[in-house]
Amino acid sequence: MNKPLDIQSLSHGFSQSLWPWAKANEDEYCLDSIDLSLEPGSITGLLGKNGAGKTTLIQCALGLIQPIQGHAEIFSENSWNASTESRQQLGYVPQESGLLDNAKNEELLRHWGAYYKNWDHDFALALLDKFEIDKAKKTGQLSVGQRQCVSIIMAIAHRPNLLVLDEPVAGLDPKARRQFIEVLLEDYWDENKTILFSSHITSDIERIASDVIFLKDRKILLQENLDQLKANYHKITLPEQEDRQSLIDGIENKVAIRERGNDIIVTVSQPVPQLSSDILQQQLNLEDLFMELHA
Amino acid sequence: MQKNLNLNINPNIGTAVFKQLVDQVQRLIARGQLLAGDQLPSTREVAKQLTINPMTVSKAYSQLELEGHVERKKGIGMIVKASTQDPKEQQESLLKPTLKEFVFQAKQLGLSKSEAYKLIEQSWSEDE
Repeated sequence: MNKPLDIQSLSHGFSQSLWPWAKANEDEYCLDSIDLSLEPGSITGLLGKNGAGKTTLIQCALGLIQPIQGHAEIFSENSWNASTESRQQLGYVPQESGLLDNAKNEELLRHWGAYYKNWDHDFALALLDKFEIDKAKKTGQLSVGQRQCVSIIMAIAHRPNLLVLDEPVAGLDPKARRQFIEVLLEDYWDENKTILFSSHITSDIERIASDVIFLKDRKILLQENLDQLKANYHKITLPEQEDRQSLIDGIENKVAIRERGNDIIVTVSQPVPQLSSDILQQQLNLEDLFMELHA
Repeated sequence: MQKNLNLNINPNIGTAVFKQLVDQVQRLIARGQLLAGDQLPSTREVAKQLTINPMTVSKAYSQLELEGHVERKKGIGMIVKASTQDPKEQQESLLKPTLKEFVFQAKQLGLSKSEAYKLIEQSWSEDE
């Protein structure tokens, strides 16, 4: 089966997006030699600080902007000039939805759906109902969160094989966020659907993602199965003691070190076997790991 | 017979969700709330009930199957197997990690053994 998304040594620079003819200076790269591929059926959470390049990566992946080096493929076609057929299998929720304010919700969805061979209008209306949005209201009258829900419906009512969401839940309250996850899992996802979504809400990612990607300093810091990651990454707390430094030197697979008061905290990508019993080695949740990797 | 399992997970801790599910089903078996021949709910049902990825539930079920706690029956689903392990042993091995953590923290706080015992007794009676 074709890889839904495959990115190879992709780089992009700031100046390039403004002046495509400018020569890139490596310091100005916002994405540097990114390799990334998604397996069919996977749900991947994309994490990174503000400005890490998540949106740029997504836009390059979908062929909305052209990378200066390397390339992105959707369904084995270069994203930049992918065929309509491939694009029909794509769903995208941008960070800012930019909907027409003057159209009624149902009209908007009908017009939008006209572009898609597989648009399921009844499904779209059922989702409006589920999000408790009046189909006769104008989009301009909706709240930020409701507009986001409409944007989500526009991205999934043709049941695309690849769904990419750029911070889809940023404007949603906790109830709507939970509804959104339910819709994704129960009404949309099956083993043939692949999802990539960026979010700062690590608890959502932990709930539904099979894989996670950390973007940091223009590069992919890690791409791993979430269960594997939780089993492997550990935080070791070392209280002040004489031989501490040699202890730290002896620890393998260190990924981050920081001080906290008198303690030194070492994050490792593999648990350390046979630590002395007065040293605490703990598993990390995603938020902790995010904090340690950005400390 | 299919039972309502009342599974509970917390996605926001260091233990992977699939591991939490595996541990809980094991505990239900160890406690005798799940008996040999009982049927586990379908992966879709559990995923829906807990709002988690259905793949995570299938992964947990596969792990339970691999460890010999349940078996997959065609057209029916997952069935609890008769346990070969001594139930006492099973209970102990399930509690070990929590105990280890407790002992570590008690030591770190400078508690004596008898003070730690007292705390366990207190919590025990508070819970009754």
